[in-house]
Amino acid sequence: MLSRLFGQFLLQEQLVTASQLARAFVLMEETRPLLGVLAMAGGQMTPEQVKEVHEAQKRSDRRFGQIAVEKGYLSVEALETLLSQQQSRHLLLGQILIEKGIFSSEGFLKALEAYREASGLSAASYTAFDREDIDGIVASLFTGQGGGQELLENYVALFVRNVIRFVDPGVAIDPLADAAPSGLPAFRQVFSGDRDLTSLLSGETAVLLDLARRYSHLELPTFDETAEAAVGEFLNLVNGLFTVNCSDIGIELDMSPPEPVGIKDPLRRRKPAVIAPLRLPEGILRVSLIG
Amino acid sequence: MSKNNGKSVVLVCDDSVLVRSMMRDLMQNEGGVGEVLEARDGLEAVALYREHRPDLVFMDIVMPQKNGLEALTEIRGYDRAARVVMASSTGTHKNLKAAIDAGACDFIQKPFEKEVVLDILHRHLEGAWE
Repeated sequence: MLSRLFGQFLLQEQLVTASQLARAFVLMEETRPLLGVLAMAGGQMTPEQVKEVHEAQKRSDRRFGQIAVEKGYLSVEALETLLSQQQSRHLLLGQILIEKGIFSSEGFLKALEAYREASGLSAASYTAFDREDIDGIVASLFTGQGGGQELLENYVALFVRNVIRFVDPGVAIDPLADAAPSGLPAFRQVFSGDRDLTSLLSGETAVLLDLARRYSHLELPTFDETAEAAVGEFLNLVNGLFTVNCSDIGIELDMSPPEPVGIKDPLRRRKPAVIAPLRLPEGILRVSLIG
Repeated sequence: MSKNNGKSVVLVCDDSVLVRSMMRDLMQNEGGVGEVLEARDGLEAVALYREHRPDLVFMDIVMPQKNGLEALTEIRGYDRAARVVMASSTGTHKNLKAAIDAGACDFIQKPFEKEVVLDILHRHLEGAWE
């Protein structure tokens, strides 16, 4: 999840070109991050120490971690932690950019620091993003908003899981996404019963069309009636599962059918209890719950 | 034998054109269903049931005009032998109980898995042809 956000950041800051980023994402499928990159990003080793270990590796058939421990740059415990972090996708992206000569090690560290600062992610949130811990990421969205958010957190986490399952495994909640522009196409579905809630799904037409195609597995050349139905059906799917989850904890909800919402709909002017910006390949998909 | 001259007839009731179209393709191409009727809401479903007496009905719950549970009750009131499968994303305890109480013969959770739909067709249409 973090790899796409970090990549988007590098692109926006013009630190990489779109084609460099695209090639790096292809290479990511075949590679895993090196311990040296992980150790630099985690602050356990300096770029100079990493280079020194790499040089030593050229002279002897020993592993990076073994040499780093021998030289006293890493403890055994730190090495074990780094080994467990080798699934880290955004650091893998950095590694590939370094290997391709697009970044120096120092340049990569600077970009990573700049991203951490710009995203405003706490250390806990950052770890949650890095480990693709959906519940942890969603909880971080609600930090500082007081208690009683459990139902909303559950909704957003459920929504993200189903986007991952049915639409795009690489979807990311984007803390840097701009506030929702007005006038975007939107769909809503209303809950009644033990709670009065309205779910709202909005995005540029290209984003909604992409969602419709991926969910329906149909070609859908334009955002026509079938595409609208696919977006509505996806919203209906998530919301149906939400009613089941709520029912399991004693909250009974009924749903209205999903429907496209007019730009002047009064509901759109109400402040949502939660809004989660999800980054998909075509742009930002926003899911809101208004209560 | 089927009530429809040996040709199985299934009514799909869902407000989503996408769901209706996918179900129709699946049933005709892989399920061996002779004719698939489509209704966009509970009102249309009841009217089409009365007109055609299909062998099997797939009924969504959340729909405009008349929801699937109301349509199920009406259809079963008209024909106690009607076979209606509730097909919805909202499989809450409340909805499941209401569906069973109203006489639904099965329940499937959206999104539909092809094998589950074909299995239901196989089981319930075989019954219709006895």
